[in-house]
Amino acid sequence: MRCAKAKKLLSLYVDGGLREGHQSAVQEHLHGCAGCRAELEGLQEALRVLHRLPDLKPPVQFRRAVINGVRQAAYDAQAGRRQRVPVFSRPRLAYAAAAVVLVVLGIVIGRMSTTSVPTPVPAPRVANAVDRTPEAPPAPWVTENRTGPEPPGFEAVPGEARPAPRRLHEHLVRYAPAPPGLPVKPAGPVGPAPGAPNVPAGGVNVPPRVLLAGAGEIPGPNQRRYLASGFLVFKPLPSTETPEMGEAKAVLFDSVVVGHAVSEWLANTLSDDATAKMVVTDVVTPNDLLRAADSPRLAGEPPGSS
Amino acid sequence: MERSLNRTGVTGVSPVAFAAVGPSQEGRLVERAQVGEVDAFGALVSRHQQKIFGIIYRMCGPGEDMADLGQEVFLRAFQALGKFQYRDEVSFRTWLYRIAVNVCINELRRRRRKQRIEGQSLDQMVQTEAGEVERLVPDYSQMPDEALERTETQALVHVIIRQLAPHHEAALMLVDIEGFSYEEAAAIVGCSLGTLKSRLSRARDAFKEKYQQYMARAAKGTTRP
Repeated sequence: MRCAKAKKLLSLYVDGGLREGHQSAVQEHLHGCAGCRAELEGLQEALRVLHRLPDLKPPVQFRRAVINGVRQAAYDAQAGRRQRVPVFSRPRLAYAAAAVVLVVLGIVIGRMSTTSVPTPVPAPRVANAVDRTPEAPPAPWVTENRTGPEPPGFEAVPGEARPAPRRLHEHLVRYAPAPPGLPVKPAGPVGPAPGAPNVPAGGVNVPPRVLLAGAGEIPGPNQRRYLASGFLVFKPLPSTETPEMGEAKAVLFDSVVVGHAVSEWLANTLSDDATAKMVVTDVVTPNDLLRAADSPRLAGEPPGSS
Repeated sequence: MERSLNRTGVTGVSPVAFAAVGPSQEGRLVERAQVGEVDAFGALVSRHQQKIFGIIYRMCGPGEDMADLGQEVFLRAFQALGKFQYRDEVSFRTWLYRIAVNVCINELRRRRRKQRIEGQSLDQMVQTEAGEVERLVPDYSQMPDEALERTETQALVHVIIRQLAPHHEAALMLVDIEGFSYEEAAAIVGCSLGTLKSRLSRARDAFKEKYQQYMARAAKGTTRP
């Protein structure tokens, strides 16, 4: 057997996958050929390196994003809604639309803040964060951490006092009855805590609709900024065997969410306030959004220009 | 962790991952998911996400789009589940992993097309007023999955694997890392057994060459793969 032929068969030879005749022929060639023996040793070393690689465990963000995306698609399919094609498939369009909405929203919120006129709450059915008195203990299902460490991307600047909340949260979060056709959320660990102010005894059996708005940055390794503005009607996830979904529900219920799929989010929410398609990747608190909205960088600067 | 190759049986599937749900249970989960039970599909996602993550990570590398790719895999599976005929545990796994490999190969081709169009390579130096500098790439140092690549060797191996042609990369990843048999790997990538063996042989040769080159350079003090 020639070297070229032997080298070609080495891969199957190390696995014992050659026919008996070929296997012994390669073995015989290796006995007399130092060059091919070196090839074999190199191959075996490379395979040892590959075999030593550990199994990989997906990070929590991966699992959450995958499960939330699948669940949303399943909901869309079950509800028989037509799949929307994102209008803002190009980032520039999405950012431009977001900027317009942000400006409009800023004006609206500015007027609300200066006149101190409470925003009418459309048919409130459940308590929200605004309704909770300062003395009221946080509901056990609320995972938002107002005093804990900042998520990546929102680290506090040394010496900088955290801005006092302007109660923007009041304007951002509203609960309303479920739109017709949506499945009813069973009372459970996700939702207002039983016994909280204005919560009927026995829990609430309607899915909360949460109107969200804001601007912010996606915490993460690349620190991507988004002009994420608009209103989102959050459709709660049903009960599930998967704990990640439960966590996501609890966080979403009392937080403002900025997702990677902001363009899709806007494309859906701007044209139809009844549903929203989004991919949840990170959750930020209202204070984070206040700080981000106060940042001059978001006042018209195109994303990624820093 | 040393693993031995097993060409006769199904290998490379963590027994821990499959401990929670038995094989017969998986069939029932698939049936329930096929009639639209989202929770049943969620359980299937939970069961297979680790292996899917491994395929995506090894083929496409760490990055912010890993979750998007994972979503795409499971969304495609969810949409196509109605046409899938469940025979046994292996048939479902093969079907699901085939979707994952195809998604990864498409993504790799898309990236390489984009790179060709833009005419840029991560290895190229960038001319600036201050002179020639290395191209800046996203810093994944804060990524949780950075902890996956605990040693320099592991990181190097993944970098080298990702330099292979997509089909060679898939064959090497499935057989030599994930431990699938030749037959199951061929079914996953959708090719004949002979083609799989040929791709695997070339992939191993290419990997071995690059690995040895790196080790030789490392010995001389220049360690860029």
